[in-house]
Amino acid sequence: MIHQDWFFDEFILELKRETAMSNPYTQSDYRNELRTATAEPLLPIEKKLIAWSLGVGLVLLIVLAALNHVYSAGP
Amino acid sequence: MSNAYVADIGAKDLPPRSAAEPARISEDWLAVILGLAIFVLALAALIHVDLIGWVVNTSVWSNFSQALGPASKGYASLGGIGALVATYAALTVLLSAGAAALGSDVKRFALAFTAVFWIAYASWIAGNYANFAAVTPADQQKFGVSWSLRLTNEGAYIFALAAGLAIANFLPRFAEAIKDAVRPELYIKVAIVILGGFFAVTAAGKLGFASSILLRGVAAIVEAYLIYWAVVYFIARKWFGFSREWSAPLAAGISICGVSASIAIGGAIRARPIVPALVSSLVLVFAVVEVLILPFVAQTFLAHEPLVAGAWMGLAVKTDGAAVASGAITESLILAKNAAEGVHYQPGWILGTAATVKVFIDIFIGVWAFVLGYIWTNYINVTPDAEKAKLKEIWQRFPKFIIGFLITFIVGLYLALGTPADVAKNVPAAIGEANTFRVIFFILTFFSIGVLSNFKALWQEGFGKLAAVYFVSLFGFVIWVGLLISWIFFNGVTPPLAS
Repeated sequence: MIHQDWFFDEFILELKRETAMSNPYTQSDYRNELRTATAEPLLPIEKKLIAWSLGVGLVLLIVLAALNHVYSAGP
Repeated sequence: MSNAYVADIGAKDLPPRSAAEPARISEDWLAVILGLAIFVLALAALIHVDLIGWVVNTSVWSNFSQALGPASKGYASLGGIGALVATYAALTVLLSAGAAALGSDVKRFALAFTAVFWIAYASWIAGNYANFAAVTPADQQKFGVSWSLRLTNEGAYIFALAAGLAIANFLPRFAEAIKDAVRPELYIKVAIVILGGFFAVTAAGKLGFASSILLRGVAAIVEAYLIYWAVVYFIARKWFGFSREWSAPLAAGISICGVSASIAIGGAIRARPIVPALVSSLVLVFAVVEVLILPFVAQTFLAHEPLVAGAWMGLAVKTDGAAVASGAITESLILAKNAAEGVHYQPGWILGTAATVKVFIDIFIGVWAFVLGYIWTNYINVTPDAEKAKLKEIWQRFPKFIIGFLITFIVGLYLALGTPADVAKNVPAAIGEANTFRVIFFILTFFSIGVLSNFKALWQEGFGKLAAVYFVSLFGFVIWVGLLISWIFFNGVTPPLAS
């Protein structure tokens, strides 16, 4: 679902057409790409993204859980 | 959405470019229109004009004559079969018009939909047989059966899913022949639009409690985004050695919202289109596995924490259709188990919690895609010709069908709380008729998900490494963290008791 799934259908169909017409990169190419790809080291920006995302997530988890505990409402 | 198409990318059997007209509308907006049309027609009952009371309703049965009937007594003369035929005819006309708007071949759609509707509904009727669906000993006695699987009425969704799976895996040519009408995302979006009105009626009596559920839902999904994505991205990059281009959509697909997220994130980081497309093909297969397992796990271990179970389905099961549908099954199983213990919760709250969590996840996909797109185009994949991420992409990726959900919710709430008592008292019945359509769209969703899940075709692709990272992340991390987060925000919160 792309939230425009009609587009997704068309996108897949177009992908098939292009593959069929020009065949620049076949299914087995993608399989090979996945199998033989050399590891790309994590860039500093990626490490920062992961660390910030997790850090903010864990801090928010504690804060929101505490707020939820204090202001919990039953039916 | 047609993930299964991804499984056989190749030259053969492609429809000519001229087979379909350009789409005049997106699937999201079409879902809004169809859902609102059904909702508005249902509301005519408030002025004593019953326009859709003929829609077919299925009850638990042991004698087939008990199985079917129109939703409204005003149409009793139609009989069960008459109501079923009327429902089929109306949906065929409505959805064929929708297919035309989407630029599909209407004749092919109508033919395919005929097969989809009758097979899906037949499996739903079968699933309502008393030996499968009767819940309490009193029900068994009433239907004259000595045993039952106690799957409940809505447990019959599993039968629709199973029928779809059987077709996908044993009759692939037939699955291909009906694929024009196999549109789980369209069906679930229409259902979600209608669901807004149903929630409004459910929430109207307990507005404070409903607000608290919404806030907990937001808290839960903020956590899911920040923790899920980062960990899964790290696993894909560090443990499985995927490139950045593969890891970002893969992490989004596994951790956020399946197909929609992987395509949104793939677009945002300017990945080649094939990357999210191949990730998407994995999503449905794993979603089916989750649908078949998690509701029963929830019934076994979370029967006394119903809303934890609901939120868990929303957080753990990927794709809107599978998640909301899992919420429906979980609700029916948990309500049945509690009913057998003499506790009768109001229906709607578990499903409501699952759907609320899922809807909030959808809302934030655009925001998360923008954040990642900004980082990628400015810091990771900086090329002179690459287009930078723009704020307007948040709106472009916003799931528009949620607007329909909000409209039916607000209108339903106003009608239930802001109108004179003689009008308000008729609102539950009116929206109940629309809700019968919602159930039918759920059935179509389940069946379609099954038809798109060709395990064999996926296996033949040889993308074992993608499946491995999906399996490890989903079953080793996402499901359990989802359970923990659900527990933190929803434990001890139980639905109101039925009066």
